Amino acid sequence: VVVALKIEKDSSVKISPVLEEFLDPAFIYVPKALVVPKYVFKGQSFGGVYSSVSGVVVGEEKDFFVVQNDYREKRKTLGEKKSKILKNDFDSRFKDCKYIIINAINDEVYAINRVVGLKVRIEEILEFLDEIMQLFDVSKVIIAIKSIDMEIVEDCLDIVDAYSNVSISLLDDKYLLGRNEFLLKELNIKNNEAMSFLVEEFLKILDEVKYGRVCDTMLVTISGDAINEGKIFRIKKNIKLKDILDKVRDSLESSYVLVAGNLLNGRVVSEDFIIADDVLSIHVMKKKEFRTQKCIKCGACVDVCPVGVDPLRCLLEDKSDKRCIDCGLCSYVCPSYIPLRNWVTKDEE
Amino acid sequence: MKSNFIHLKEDNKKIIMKYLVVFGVLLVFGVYKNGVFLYQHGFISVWEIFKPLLFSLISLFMIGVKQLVFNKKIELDYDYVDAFILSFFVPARMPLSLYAGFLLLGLVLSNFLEKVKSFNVIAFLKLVLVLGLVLSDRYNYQNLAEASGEFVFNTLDYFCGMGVGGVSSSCIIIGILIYFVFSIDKFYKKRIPIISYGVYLALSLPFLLRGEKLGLEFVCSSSVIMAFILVAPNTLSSPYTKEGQIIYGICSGILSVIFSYFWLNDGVFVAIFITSLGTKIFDKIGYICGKIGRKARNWQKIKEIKG
Repeated sequence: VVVALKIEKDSSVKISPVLEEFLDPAFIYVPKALVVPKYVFKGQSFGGVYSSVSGVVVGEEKDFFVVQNDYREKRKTLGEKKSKILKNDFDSRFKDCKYIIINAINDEVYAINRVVGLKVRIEEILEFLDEIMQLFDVSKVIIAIKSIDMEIVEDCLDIVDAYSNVSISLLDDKYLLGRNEFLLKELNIKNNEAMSFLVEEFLKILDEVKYGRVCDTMLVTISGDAINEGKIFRIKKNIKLKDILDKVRDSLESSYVLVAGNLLNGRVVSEDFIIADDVLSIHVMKKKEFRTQKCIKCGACVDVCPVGVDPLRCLLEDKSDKRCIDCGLCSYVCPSYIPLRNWVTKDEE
Repeated sequence: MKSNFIHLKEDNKKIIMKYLVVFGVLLVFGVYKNGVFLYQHGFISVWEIFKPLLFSLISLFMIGVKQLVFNKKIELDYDYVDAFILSFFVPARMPLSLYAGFLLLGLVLSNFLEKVKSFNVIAFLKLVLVLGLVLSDRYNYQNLAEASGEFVFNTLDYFCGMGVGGVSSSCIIIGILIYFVFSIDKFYKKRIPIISYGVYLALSLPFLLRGEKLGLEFVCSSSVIMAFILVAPNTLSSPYTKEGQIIYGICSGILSVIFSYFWLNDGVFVAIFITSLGTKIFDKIGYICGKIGRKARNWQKIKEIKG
C-alpha cells in the first residue's frame, strides 16, 4: 500500500506567499435556520457555522441568509461552556500522548494556506503549544512542512529554535500528507502516540480556548494555471467567491474553470459559490478535456490506492467500496482517463 | 459526474509511443542481424536488408486495416504495440506474403474470439503464423547464415543475439535492458517476467544440471526470455492484481517448461496463450487472497490492541 504519491505539478504555476486581506465584505452568507433572525451577531451559530460579521439579514439566496455587513463587529461571547468541553476533551485525548504534530502541508496541489497560516501566527502557536506541553506532559512537538515550502517559513526558524522541544520536519512534496493519518505513517509514528492537528484546526482551538472567541477569518489560496500569479487571502468566512475573484480579475485568463478544493477530488463551482471554512483553495484552471478510453487493465489504480481498494473491480462490477477516502488518485493515474472515483464512491453520492 | 482536473502526464498515447520507441532498438538489431550481417556475407541482396522492418510495417499496416474494417476509424492503441511485438518473433526466413496472409487470418479470427474470451492476442497470432509455416513446410528459425553452418559463435555472441530466434528478438541483453526500462514504468507488469522466468529456470535446472537435451540453450532461450518480457505481461490479457500476477507468472512458467521441452521456440507462446485464458480467474483469486490478507491483518491488529 502506497502511503503517498508525488503529484506532477505545472512548474509555471506560481503563488505569492504574501498574505493579502479581504476583511470587509459587503455581504456574507450563512446557512438558513428555522427562525429568520433580524440581526446577526458576529460569532452567532447557524447549524455549526458561525457568522463572521455582524449585520442585518437582508434576504435569502438558495440555502443561505444574506447578511449585510454593518462593519460594527458586534459579537456574542462564546461563553465558558465551549472551553470547558474542549478542556475535558483534551484531557482524554492527550492521555499517553508523546507527540503533538502540527500539519502545515496542503494536499490541494497549488495551495500554501497552512504553511502561511503557520508563519503568520507562529509565536502564538508556539506559546500555546508550550502551555499544552506543560499541562499534559507531552514530550515533543513536530511541525510538518513540505521542504519546498521551507522558504516561506525561513524567517520563523529563530523563533522555533527558542523552543527546545519543538522541531520542524521537512517532508517531500507528496500527495496525502495533508491528511493526518498518512502524515503519521510517513513520520513513522503510531496513531496512539501522537495528537495531530492541521494548522487551521489548531488555530481554531487556540482562538476558542485561549481567547474564548470564534475564528471568523480563514485563509484561502486562489491559484492555478489560468491565473498569472496565485495569491493567498485572509477573508471573512462565508463570502461569495465572486467578491474575492474581483480582486484578481485582471490576472485571470479569458477562459477558465473554477475548482473548489483539491484538483484530484474537488468540484467545479460558479462565481456564486460560498467559501465556507472547509474550502482551502480555489483553483482557476484552463479548460481541459480528458477523453476517456477503454480500460487497459494495467492495475495502476489498484497499486496506487492508499487504502487498498480495487477501483477496477468497482468499475467492472459496477460496485462501490466503503473504504474509499475519495482521494482521487485512481482517476489521476489512470492512463485511459477513466473517472474511477465515480464508481468507487458511487453509493455515497 | 466527479472528475479530475489534473492528471498524470503519462497516458495511453505516451505509453504506446514510449513502447514503440524502445522496441525500435530491437528492430535495429533485427535489421543488423538478419539484414546487414547477411548482406555483408553475401547471403541476401541489398533489397532484403530491411526485411525485419517490413515485418513490422506489415503488422502495423494490418492493424490499421483491421481498425478501419471493424472500428471504422484509425486510433493509436495497444493493438499497434502487440503487432510490433509480434513482428519481432517471426522466423527470419518466413516469406512476407505468407506472413501478411496468416496475420490477416489471425486478426480476423482473434477479433471474433476476443468477443467470447479474453486471451493473449500476440501469443494467439504467433501460433497462427506457426500454423502457416508448418502448413507451407517452412518451419525453421535459422536464418541463412545459421543454416549454412559457416559461423561459430561463442556464448557471449549468443547472449548478444547471434543465436537462433525470432527475426528481431534474439538479443537477450537488449531484452533485459528493455525490462529494466519498462520496470520504471508503473503500467508495466514487472512481476510477471521475473516470476515466469524464475519458475521456468527452477524447473529446467534439473535438465541443465544433468546435461540433458538442449542444456544452456533451453534455459537461456531468447524466445522464452523475450516472450516473458514482452508477451506475457501484455496489459489486456494478464491479471492486474498482485496476487493474480503471481499465479499467472507461476502457471506460465510451469507450462512453458512443459511445452518448450517439445517445442523450444514456440512452446512458450502456447503456454502464455493457455495461461491468459485464466486471467479473470487469477484476478478473482487475487482479490479473494487480498481480502483474506486484509482480514488477517485486522485480526492481528485487534489481537495486538487486546494485548
